[in-house]
Amino acid sequence: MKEVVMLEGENGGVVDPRLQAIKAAIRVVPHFPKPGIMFNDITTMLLRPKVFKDAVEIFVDRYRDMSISAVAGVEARGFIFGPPIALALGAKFIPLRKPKKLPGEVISESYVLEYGTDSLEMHVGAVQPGERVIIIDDLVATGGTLCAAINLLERVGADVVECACLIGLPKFKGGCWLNGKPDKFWLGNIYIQACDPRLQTDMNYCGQAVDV
Amino acid sequence: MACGEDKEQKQDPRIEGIAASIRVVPDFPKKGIEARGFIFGPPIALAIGAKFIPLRKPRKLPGEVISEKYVLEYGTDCLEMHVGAVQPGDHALVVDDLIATGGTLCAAMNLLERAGAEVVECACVIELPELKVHYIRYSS
Repeated sequence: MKEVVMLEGENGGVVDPRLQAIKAAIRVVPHFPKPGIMFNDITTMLLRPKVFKDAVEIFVDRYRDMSISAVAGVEARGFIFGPPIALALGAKFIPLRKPKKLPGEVISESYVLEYGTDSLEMHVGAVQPGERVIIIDDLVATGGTLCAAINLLERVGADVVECACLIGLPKFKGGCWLNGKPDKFWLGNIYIQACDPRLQTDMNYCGQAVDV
Repeated sequence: MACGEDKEQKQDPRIEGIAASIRVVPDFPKKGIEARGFIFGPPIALAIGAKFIPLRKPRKLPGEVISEKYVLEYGTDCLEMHVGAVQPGDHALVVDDLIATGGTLCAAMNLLERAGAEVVECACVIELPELKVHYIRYSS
């Protein structure tokens, strides 16, 4: 079981000074894409080159010495962070996409949404068995998309070292069960909490329940 | 374009490796290209110390947006940008992986110019020379 990495200190832990600016640069848009959802919008952070650079560096600092040969990014906001991280690590970048976007031969993994299902695709041959891979997305909410991403990569024999997101819901702080499998913890994430905890209830949480 | 149209220019030596690693997949639809610009745009922005602004299909960007329609082979589509992403007078570069008819890039330029930015150039990794005749407006 991998440790959950917390860069935001709690109870006197070490706080990465870059996190403050990153948190401040992310805006929360209420009731998007539907009522009750407080959407964490990273586009405002992308307008601040130094802050965006720091966000990328936080990931790169962590993975630099982990022999990562591939970075998989989840469409579409994972495409904003994944490639700069991959370039800095000298790793491949692998887009994980919604159905019918990737040309040529793909493998597909379904996952459950609040209402209905969706699926994620990856090119056959993008990753070789045994390759060490990290998965990047801007935010983890239910973990459904990341589970699908992990499954895609493991089905082709890759070694998913970690999933890393800039923003995560508090419930991921202590690790969490994925897909009800008790032996498969959340593989670890770097995250910051970018929303006001007073706004969170079971029904009304920060992040997105539907893929936008 | 890095592949110089001026034949007297020496070709950038990196182009051969790039061209060799792009594969052509026959008979695949060209829909949904918003996301591939996200692959190239951010690294370029980071390297030159510029803002990165995602231009997206409708209803993907939260908050206030401006919207620009453009014509497809059948029907129309729409590109959106956040209000306030650019300031009047900003110098902007539009990046995409591929240019076909130029319709999307025109919409992108219009969005930026409506917000008062100056579009310095549109840059794409790949062009489709057979569609060049369809360029409505191509500024460089």
